[in-house]
Amino acid sequence: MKRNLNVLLSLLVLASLVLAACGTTPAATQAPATQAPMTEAPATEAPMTEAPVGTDTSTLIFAQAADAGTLDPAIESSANSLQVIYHIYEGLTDFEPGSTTPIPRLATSWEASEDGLEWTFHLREGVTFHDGTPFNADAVVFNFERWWDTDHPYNLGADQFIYWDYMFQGFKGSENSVLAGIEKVDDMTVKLILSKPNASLLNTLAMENFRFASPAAIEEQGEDYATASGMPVATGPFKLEEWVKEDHITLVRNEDYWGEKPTLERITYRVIPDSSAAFLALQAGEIDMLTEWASPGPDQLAQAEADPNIQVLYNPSFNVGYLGLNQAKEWLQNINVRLAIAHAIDKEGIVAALNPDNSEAAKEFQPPSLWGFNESIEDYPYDPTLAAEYLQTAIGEGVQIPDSVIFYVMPTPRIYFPQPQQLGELIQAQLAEIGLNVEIQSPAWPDPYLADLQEDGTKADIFLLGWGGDNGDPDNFLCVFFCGADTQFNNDGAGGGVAPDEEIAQLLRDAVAETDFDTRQTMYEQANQLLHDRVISVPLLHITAPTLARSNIEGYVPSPVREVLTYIVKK
Amino acid sequence: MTTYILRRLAQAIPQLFIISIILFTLMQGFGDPVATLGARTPPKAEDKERLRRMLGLDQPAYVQYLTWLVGNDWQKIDMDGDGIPETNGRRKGILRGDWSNSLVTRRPVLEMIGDRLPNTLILMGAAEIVIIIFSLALGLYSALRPYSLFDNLVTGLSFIGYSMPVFWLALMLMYIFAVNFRAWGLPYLPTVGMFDPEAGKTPAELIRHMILPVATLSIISIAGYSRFVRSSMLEVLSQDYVRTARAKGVRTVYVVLRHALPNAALPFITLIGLDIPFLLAGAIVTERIFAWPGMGRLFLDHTSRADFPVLMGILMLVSIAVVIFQIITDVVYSLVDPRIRLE
Repeated sequence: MKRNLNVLLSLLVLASLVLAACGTTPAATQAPATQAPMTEAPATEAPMTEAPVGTDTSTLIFAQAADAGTLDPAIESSANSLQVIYHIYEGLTDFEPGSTTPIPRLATSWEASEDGLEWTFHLREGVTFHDGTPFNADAVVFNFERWWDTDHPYNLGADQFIYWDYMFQGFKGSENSVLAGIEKVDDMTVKLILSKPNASLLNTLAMENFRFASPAAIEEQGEDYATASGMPVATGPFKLEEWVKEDHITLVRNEDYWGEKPTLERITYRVIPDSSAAFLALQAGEIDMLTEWASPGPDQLAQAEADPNIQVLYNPSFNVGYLGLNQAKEWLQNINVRLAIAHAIDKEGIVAALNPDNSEAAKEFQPPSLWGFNESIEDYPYDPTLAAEYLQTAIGEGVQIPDSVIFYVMPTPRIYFPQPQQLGELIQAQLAEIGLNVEIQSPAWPDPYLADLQEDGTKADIFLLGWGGDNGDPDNFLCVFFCGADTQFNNDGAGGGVAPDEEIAQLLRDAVAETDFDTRQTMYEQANQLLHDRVISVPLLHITAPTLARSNIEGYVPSPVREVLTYIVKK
Repeated sequence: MTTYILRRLAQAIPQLFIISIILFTLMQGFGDPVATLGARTPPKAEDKERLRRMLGLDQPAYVQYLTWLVGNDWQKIDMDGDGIPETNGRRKGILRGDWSNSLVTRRPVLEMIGDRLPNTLILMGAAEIVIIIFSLALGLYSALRPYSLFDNLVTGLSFIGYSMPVFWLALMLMYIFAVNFRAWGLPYLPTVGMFDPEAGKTPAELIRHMILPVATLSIISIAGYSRFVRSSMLEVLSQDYVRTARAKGVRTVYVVLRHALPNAALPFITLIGLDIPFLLAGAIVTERIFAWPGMGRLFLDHTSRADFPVLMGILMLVSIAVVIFQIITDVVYSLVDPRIRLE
């Protein structure tokens, strides 16, 4: 009988071996590598190399915690997918590596009308998609109509194109839609018509979600477009070579790329879900880089700093973690209460205790690297005595302090709070010092934690939450919170969001409609000052996310929004 | 015998129905699948409502269960989410071979399982073979020389092996054999994955990458199972018929293999028979740490998204396997143990 079982097992194993071996099908045939001499100096600060760019045969192996869902930018919202999409696709604008400033990519220049409602983009000549389809105004119009018009044959519906809905506030026919029309002016010029001025448009267009796919490829592949059984086709410096679902994605250099060709011949994205295992793979030298999204905890960070074969590359912080104050609760409507809380929290102590290597105390709701940050603001000094005095003043004014303050602390780490539970306990202890009895509650993340805060607003008094930027515009850090979009800071008690301070909300709405950059910048600095003075909430931390790399990796430009691998040189 | 098997199979049908109802009921408490679909902020209340209608999640649980079971292709459903049913349903139901689609990836569940099952079977199958061979060998050898140095050594190591947490063992093996062996210039093993993307999916690559996960999966089981084989073997070896056989001068090897082992192995067969169906479910911790794209990871990834069609698919697959392997185990029993007759 033992033999019977063994025979059965062997058959199973054999069958699965055969099946597994058949499972690999290259997603594309590899284009013959042609010698492409370097024609122009690199536009970025990437170090010059002796080997001519575009002829190297090196492969960069980059580990992520999960596989991409699809490689269709219109659908995806996870960082793992967008990281790959960034290197295949291009849009009208792009982020300058290392910052969030929009730079020309497939548009060479643009102008906006006086009222900020009409934007004309001049397209780059001589660009073709990976399948040979020319890039022109028709391709741009096709893509925009696919995203915007739910009746377009290749629009996959509002539930799939979530980022369009989110950034452009609606689809064709909806009164909120930022886009009112798209026109082809001539073969190489398109005009976007907006329903209301939107000064963050250039930043939004730099996001991966609004990058162009080949119309011919979308028509040919239909619903399979850029899924694991389809093929993404765009204009970028890399194209897809092979995709083994849940294992790896290999990109190969686009030898026909219109711009400066990358030095790397290939980028392989490997899926390693466990961060300890990924770190060991980096130590062993099996992978070259480990993404910030899978980055190890404080212990491993110290270990990485000590390892001569590994370099820790800190990306400029692009997030904020904050202590939210729910001003729908009567006692928190008193500014002295809010000042008491602000002065009771020892941010420097928190930084030193939790993440000394990669965080800094936050004084504003946006990272310092982003324009609109107000240099002149002085953070609330940590002063428990002063805080207690503010609290006494508030009580003297008749404020009823609840016996138990409900404090929402998320149960799972987020990129802006790597150790939320410890952070929650520190804040609990610091508030206890001024006489607040804080009760920590940790409902499941994301549901019902987020729903309780963002759609209900009646559950928590104070809470931990954070934000990472989408498009590198201060509007995406400030109006998101303080224009009354959701219920976290203030609400009508029936699930509707209310701006915690109408004057600030109006300033922010005016700022996004303003087209003059300097005026906008001043408006955001002013908004940050008001947010500070009126203690609408207490910003806590900016986390600097580390990307880990082997020491032979050069030319990586740490960037706030996306890890840019295009200019890397592997020695 | 044929009648017996047919009767058991007939009994299995209501059994599986009951299992599916219980599983589906448990799924209701798994959380809201719609809450995790969406971009940065949770979907707006009206979008959630529309999505629920489109995915059929607004229906009462029993209707969802019936749709999952027998489909809805004879009735109109609300595909665009406007509250008015206008499109023909497309689900055929599991009874007609449609295992439904994932709520997250929108792909057919059967296709998703098909992608992962071979990877899991090869890993778990190899581990099970290693477990059987080593448990029998160590157990037998220990039983033949009880309380010898070897036996005590194996007993001691078993206790250590049995009490090691899987994730710790996996990472330690990786740290020693993949990281340090490489650093010391010794022959080393790869850390994670099924194969090196640059080398491709060759059998040699696969075997190299399987060694550590198979070792992780088997060390702990061998530690337990070899004790099991040892004690049942010791018990049989002290029986009268074994002594009689020895007294007649039958060679020890023959006594052990022909007379003692078949009887001693009976409980072991039950153990293995119960194990095999769970090979299909994969190993959640080991697959995650070794980045092995198998069923355990599929289950884990979709549990966190409350993707009940996928979870139901995996659990039903395992349930069916459990039922079938119980029948097979019983049949094998009757073949090796003459005292058991199947009527």
